[in-house]
Amino acid sequence: MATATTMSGAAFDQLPNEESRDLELLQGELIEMPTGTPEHQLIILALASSLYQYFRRERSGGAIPDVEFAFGEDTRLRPDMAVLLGERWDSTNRKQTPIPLAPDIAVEVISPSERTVDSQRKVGIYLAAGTKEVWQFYPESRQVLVYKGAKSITPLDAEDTLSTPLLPGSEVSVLEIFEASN
Amino acid sequence: MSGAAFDQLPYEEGRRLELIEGEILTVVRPTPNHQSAVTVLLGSFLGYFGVEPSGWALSECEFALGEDDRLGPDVALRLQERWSIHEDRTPIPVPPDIVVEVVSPNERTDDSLRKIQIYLKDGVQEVWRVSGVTQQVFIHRAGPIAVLEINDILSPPLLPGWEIPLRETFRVKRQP
Repeated sequence: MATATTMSGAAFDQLPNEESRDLELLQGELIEMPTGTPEHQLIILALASSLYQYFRRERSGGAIPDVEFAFGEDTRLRPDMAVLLGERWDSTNRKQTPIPLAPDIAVEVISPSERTVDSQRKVGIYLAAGTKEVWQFYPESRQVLVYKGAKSITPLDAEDTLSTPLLPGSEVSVLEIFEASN
Repeated sequence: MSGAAFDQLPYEEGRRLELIEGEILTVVRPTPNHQSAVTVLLGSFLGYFGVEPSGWALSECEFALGEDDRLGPDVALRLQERWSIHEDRTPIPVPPDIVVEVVSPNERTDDSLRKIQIYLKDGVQEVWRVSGVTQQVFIHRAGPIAVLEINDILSPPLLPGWEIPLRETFRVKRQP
């Protein structure tokens, strides 16, 4: 098994963009992010579209795809979608990366090559840093796992609707999101 | 390929395959940590079923869960029967009651969620996903997923009188 490349967050931040754009840093370990498949990108597009419309109406925050967040000294993650609410949304510097606080909601569309150990560690990092919910979309089984805390995981399938008290009035049909990738 | 065709594949030493919805997956040889958790659990189940012979637990046996599904869980439990009734057949033509899957370092999470979905759809009552790296156990069944952490004790209602602390499963010494 290949040994992992390690580096500090500070060193990661200094990497030229063309090197770091496909990487995340997970507790000092470099993780490659695979290029998104059409399926992956279509799911994100459907979700982004739904969230964009929601925040145009509600104006209480926003959703940003594919932007880097800094967690402590040695972690830099790029959730497929990040929702920032209220003050977090207002105070985020639009011209700076990484964003130095935790998103309120982190959304990950799981890639075919993503390892269980990495996705579980990422969830742990998001929640420990103050992210209130993590949503993981699993394209192969068309399930969504909603994490609301270390001990709260709710699985949703095609018949279910994804809604959250964090986005009052928002209802996302799980089936519709996955069907967008057909 | 179909389950029927899969069942006809010639036996080959060292070949470890599974079939999920007609798709062949290669199973890699497990790491020591993986087998450590499997061994601890199997040993514990052996003690339980030895005293109370109302079921059995085996590792690496293949089950025909659906027409085109052939899966070999790390540990499978059948309750309320003796294993001899299956007459040493492979694949075993009934679903396990409980499946234990220990997370491998390189396993793909999308594949393993897909397997869990198939297990639950095809008659398995509970799937326990044992994660050594995060020292957690996840219990998948209908409804929310239960999460156990390192100081918790796994004591499933399906196995009355049986329990195991997670520290024991992961061979973690208690802090002095």
